[in-house]
Amino acid sequence: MDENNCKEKIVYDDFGRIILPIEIFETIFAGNAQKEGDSGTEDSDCDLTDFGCCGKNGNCTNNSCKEDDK
Amino acid sequence: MDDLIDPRILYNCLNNKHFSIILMPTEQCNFRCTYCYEDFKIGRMKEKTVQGIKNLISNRMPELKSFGLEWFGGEPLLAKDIIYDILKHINNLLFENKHIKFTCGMTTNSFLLKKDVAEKLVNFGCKYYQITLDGPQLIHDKSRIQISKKGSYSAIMANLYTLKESQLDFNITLRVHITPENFDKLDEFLKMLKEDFLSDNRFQIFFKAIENLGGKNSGKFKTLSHENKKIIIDSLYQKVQPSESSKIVENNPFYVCYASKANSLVIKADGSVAKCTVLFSDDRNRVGLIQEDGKLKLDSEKISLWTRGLFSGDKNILHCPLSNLPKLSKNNDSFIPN
Repeated sequence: MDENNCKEKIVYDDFGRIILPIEIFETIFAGNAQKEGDSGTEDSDCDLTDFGCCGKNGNCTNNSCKEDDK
Repeated sequence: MDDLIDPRILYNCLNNKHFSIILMPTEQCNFRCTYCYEDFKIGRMKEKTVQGIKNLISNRMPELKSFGLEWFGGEPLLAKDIIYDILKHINNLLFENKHIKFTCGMTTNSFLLKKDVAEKLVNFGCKYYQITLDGPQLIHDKSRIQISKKGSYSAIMANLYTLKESQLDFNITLRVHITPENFDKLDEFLKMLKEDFLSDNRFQIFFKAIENLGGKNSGKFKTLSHENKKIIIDSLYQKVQPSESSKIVENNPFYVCYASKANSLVIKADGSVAKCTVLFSDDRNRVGLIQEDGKLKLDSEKISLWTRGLFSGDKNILHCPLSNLPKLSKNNDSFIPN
């Protein structure tokens, strides 16, 4: 990806749902080798609440995705 | 491959079944911390923005599997009526959508986090708190100053002890700021935290080196060098939790910042939408607006600057997309007023 142009734009509907063209999925997953047996796109129960790493809300300890998704 | 991240994590950052919002019910603060990067120009969230948020959540909730909400500010508890109002709305929706995993947290200076407030918030499902201390009272009161110029240590500690004595089901992260001036003066303070709080598994500690994040205080305080930061922070973890020091690692290889996630938004008190909670004065971080009916007007070009790590898979960008944030194209004609 040309990071100065950020060509791959995510399109949203009126309520912030992501509308992804199939090409975007291909861009993402083609560049990431998948382990044998991994679906690569399986859903998980991860929650997205975290305090981030920077600013006054930085935390990085509450990233439940890392365990749920392994 | 070392710099690429597991595609399943990326997928969850693009999945409409997960939705995360950071809300700023007010951008006013009762503190004037000497290193703060915020400008406090925006006041309380207006009713039409509150209504917009409720409508947005009502629209999205039925399809969600997990919903993450974090309160941020300013000091969010200065607008606790707005917080209660939105949380009550969410709880009503959760009653009808019991399959949703709701996770709610707050970054608060805790000055106003009295027991009755905490009880109400916890009962609404707001269980995660991040509360900052700058060290023992003599040090803390020089930097975490109330707007009245008084110190804040006594009030914060009183609230923490009250919460500890309660039976409430919360999780408090005690964020301890580290500077070149305080890192070697923390032994007694950390001993107290370890004995009085960390023995209770509702409390955990997080050391964070103070950084220069811009704003009018930029350049007015000292920060640790990159080389010293890790050594000092590692040694501090050893003092409080030697057997568990690896649990809290700032450079978690799986960490994806909320600003990098396509399904995560910050809604400011003025109804503008942002991605990052640091770069508030930068036009690249004004990515949209929320309307009273809950509809979002989002600028895909601006958002693409923040979500670029999802396409490259670069861990460093996913960890902090603010780093080397690209410029907007010259023909970006923003519809978002300043």
